[in-house]
Amino acid sequence: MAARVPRNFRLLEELEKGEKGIGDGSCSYGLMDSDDIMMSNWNGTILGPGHTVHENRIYSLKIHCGDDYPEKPPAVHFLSRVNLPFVSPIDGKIDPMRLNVLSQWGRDSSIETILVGIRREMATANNRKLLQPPEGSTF
Amino acid sequence: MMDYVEQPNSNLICCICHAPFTNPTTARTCLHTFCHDCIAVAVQHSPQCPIDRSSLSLDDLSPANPIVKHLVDELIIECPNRVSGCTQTFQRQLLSAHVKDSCLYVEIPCSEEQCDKLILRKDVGKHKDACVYRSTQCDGCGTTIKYSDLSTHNSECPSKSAMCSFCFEEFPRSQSQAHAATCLDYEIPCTQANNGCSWTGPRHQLSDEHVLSCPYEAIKGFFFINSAQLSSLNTENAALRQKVYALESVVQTMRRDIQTFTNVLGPWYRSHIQSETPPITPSSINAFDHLFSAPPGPSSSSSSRTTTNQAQPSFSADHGELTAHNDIDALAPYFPLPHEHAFQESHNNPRSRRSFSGIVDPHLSQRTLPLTPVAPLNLSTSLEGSLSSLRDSIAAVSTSVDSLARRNDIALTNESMRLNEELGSLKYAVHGIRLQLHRLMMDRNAQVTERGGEPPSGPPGNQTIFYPPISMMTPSFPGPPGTKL
Amino acid sequence: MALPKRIIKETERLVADPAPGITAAPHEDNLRYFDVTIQGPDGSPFQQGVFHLELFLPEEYPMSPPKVRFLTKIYHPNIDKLGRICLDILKDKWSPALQIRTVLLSIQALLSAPNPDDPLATDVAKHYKEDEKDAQRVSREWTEKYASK
Repeated sequence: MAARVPRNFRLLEELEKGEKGIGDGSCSYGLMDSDDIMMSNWNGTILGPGHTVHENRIYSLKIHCGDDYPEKPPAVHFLSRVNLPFVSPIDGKIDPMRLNVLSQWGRDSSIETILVGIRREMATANNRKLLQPPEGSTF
Repeated sequence: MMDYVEQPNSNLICCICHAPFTNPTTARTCLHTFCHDCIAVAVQHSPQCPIDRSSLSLDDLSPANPIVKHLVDELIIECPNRVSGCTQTFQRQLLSAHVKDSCLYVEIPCSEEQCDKLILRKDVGKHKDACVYRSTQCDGCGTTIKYSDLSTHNSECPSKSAMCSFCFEEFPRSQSQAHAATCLDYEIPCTQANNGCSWTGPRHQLSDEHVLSCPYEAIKGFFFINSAQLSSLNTENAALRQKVYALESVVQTMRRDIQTFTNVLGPWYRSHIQSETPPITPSSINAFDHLFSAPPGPSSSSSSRTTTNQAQPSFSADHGELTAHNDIDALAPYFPLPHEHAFQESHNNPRSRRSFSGIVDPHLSQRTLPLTPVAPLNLSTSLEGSLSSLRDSIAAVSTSVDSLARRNDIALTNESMRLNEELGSLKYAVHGIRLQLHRLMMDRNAQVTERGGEPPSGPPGNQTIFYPPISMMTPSFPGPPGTKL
Repeated sequence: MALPKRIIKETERLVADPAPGITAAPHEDNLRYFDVTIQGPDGSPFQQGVFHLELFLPEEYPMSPPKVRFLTKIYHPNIDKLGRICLDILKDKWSPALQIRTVLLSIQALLSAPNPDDPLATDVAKHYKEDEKDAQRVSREWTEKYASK
C-alpha cells in the first residue's frame, strides 16, 4: 500500500496548489482564515460557465474540511444564492447524495474537484436554463 | 531484508537504507560507499553525494574495494524463514544456497508429477507416504498403480476374491462370469421371457418348478410357428412398401408430365372429368390434392398462365372451386359458350385462327373483349379437327395462289407480245418517215448544186444538224407490223 | 508495499533512544505519520515551551525529505502562521543520508538560531531585524501562551 498522506499535509498540498491557481481560473479556493492552523474552513469561488444562465456570475462557497478529511468529503455551502437541484434553497447547503463529486468521493478527490464538478453541473442541459435568483443575493 | 545476528560495524552500514551494504558501490569522486541500488536511486533524485553533497553521477560509481564486499558477505545472518521455524544462521553469502538446498522451511513442490502441492522441505518424507499420487502395489495382482486409483482397482482387480450375491460363495473375480453362468442360485429370467413371461427366479427353480407351470412354455410350438409367419409377413410387407414407393415416384413423374402437357396445350386442354362429372367431390380432391397440384378443369389449367395458379394447390377443395368459377368469369370471353360458337363459326371462320395471338395479348383479358375485332377461339372442335381444317385451308390457299400466278403469267406474256408487235409497227413507221426525209434532203441538195457557187441560205453549222447519221435511222426490228392480242 | 526496513529501524531508535528534548511517536494507523514534540532550547525565547509538530514520511522517503509542520503557534521568523518551516534540509538541501532524528535536531537548532535573512513569516522577520529584543519578547509571550507544558 502506498503511503497515505495525512489530513494536514494533504490540505497543505491543496493550499499550495490553490495559491498557484488552478486550470483556467474559472474556479479558485483558499483558506478562510490564514491563521487557522487546522485548515478547516475554506472559501471557494466559481465563475458561472458561459452560454448558461450563470454566465458572468461569480458564486462564492464555503467548504468545511472535518477531521476525517480526506477520507470523508467536506461539507459544502453556497454563500451566493443559486437555484440548483443539489443546493438547499434554505441555507445553500449542498446535498452530498445529489452531487456526483461528493457522493462518489474518494481519496483522490479534492476541493478543486468539488468546485470543478459543481461548475460542470451548472452547465448540464437540465441546469443551464434554471431560473436564478437576483445576482449578488446571498443565503 | 536480512536480520543480522550481531549489530554490524557501523562502517558497513549504508546511510541510505541503514543496512549493511548490498553490492557495495563507491563514488570515485568522494570515496563514499553505498549499496548499489540505494545510490543509483539517490543520484537520480538529486545528482549529489548524500553525505557531502558533492556532485555525483551514475558514471562516478564503481564497485567498492573487495575487502568491503568480503566483510559484508561474511556477516552472519538469520535464515529468512525464521518465522516458519528455521533457526539456522550462516554467512550472508550462503543465503541463496541455504534456501535452495538445505533450508527445511522452504516450500518445494511434491516430486509426484500430478501432485501440485507445495510442501515444506522437512515434511517431504511425511508427504511422500501420504501423497495420493504416490505409487503403490496391488496386493492381489502385484501391478504398480497410483494410490488414488487403488480403490477403483480393488473393485476390478481379477486376483481379488469376489463373492456371489446369490449363493454367497467366494472365488477370484476372474471367475465371476463363469460362476454367474452356472450358479444355481443366480437369478435368471424365464426362457419364455421374450414371449411375455415375467417370471424371474433362481436358476435351479427354473427347470425344477417354473417350466412345469409356465403357461408360455406350454404353447412353445405355437410361438415358433407364429414368429415364423410374422417374419415372412414382415418381409412381404417390406417388399410391398418398396413397391408403393416406386409407384409413387412414377405417379409423381406422370403428374409432372401431365402438368407440362396441360401447359403446352393451353386452352385446348379440356378435362373430360369436368364435362361429365362437373363437381369434383371434396374427398377425391383431398386425396389427390397433394399429388395433382394442377387443378382439373379447362379454366383452371388455362389459368396456369396467370399468377393465381401458384397459390391454387394450397387451397382447400371449396376454395379451388371458387377460384375456378372466378377464372371462368374472367376468361369467359376466350371460351364462348356452345351457342356462341355456332354464331362465331358461321360468322367468320378464318378469324378464329387469329385468336391464338389474342390470348397472349394482355389487353384482351378485359371484359370488353367482345368489342375488339379479334375473334374468340373456337373450342367446339377438337385439336386434331382444327389442325386438319387449318391444313386444308392452307392447301386451298396455296392452290388459289398457284392458279393466280399462272393466270398472271399468261396475261403478262400476252401483254408483252402485244407490246412487241406495236413497237415493231412503230419502227416501220419511223423508217418510212426517215426515207421520206432523206428524199426531201436529196432534192434540196440538188437544187443548191444547180445554182452553182451560191452559198446555202442557212448558216453552215445547220447542215450537220439536219443530217442525222444514217446508220442510226436504219430499222433494226425485222418483225411484222403490230398485232394485237 | 510494506514499510521499508529503514523506517522501521529509525522508528525503533527514536522510541528506544530519543534525542534529548525530542520525542517522536508514529500513529498506530499510519506508521509514516509521527507526533513530535520539541522542547524549546535553553537560552532561546522558546525555553520552557513544548512545541507539538507533525511529521510525515512520503512515499519516496528517504529519497525525498520528510514533511514537517508545527502544530503549536510559534513566533519565529522561519515558521509561518500555518506552522510551515523554512529549513534548507527540508527542501533543496535534503540528502538521503539525513534521517528523522537529524531533521528534528535541525529544527531544534533553528529555534535557538533564527535566521531572519531567509524568512517565511516576513512580518516576524522584519520585527526580528528591526528590534530583536522586542521580537524575542513576543516570542516568549507566545511560548508562554501557546506552548506551556
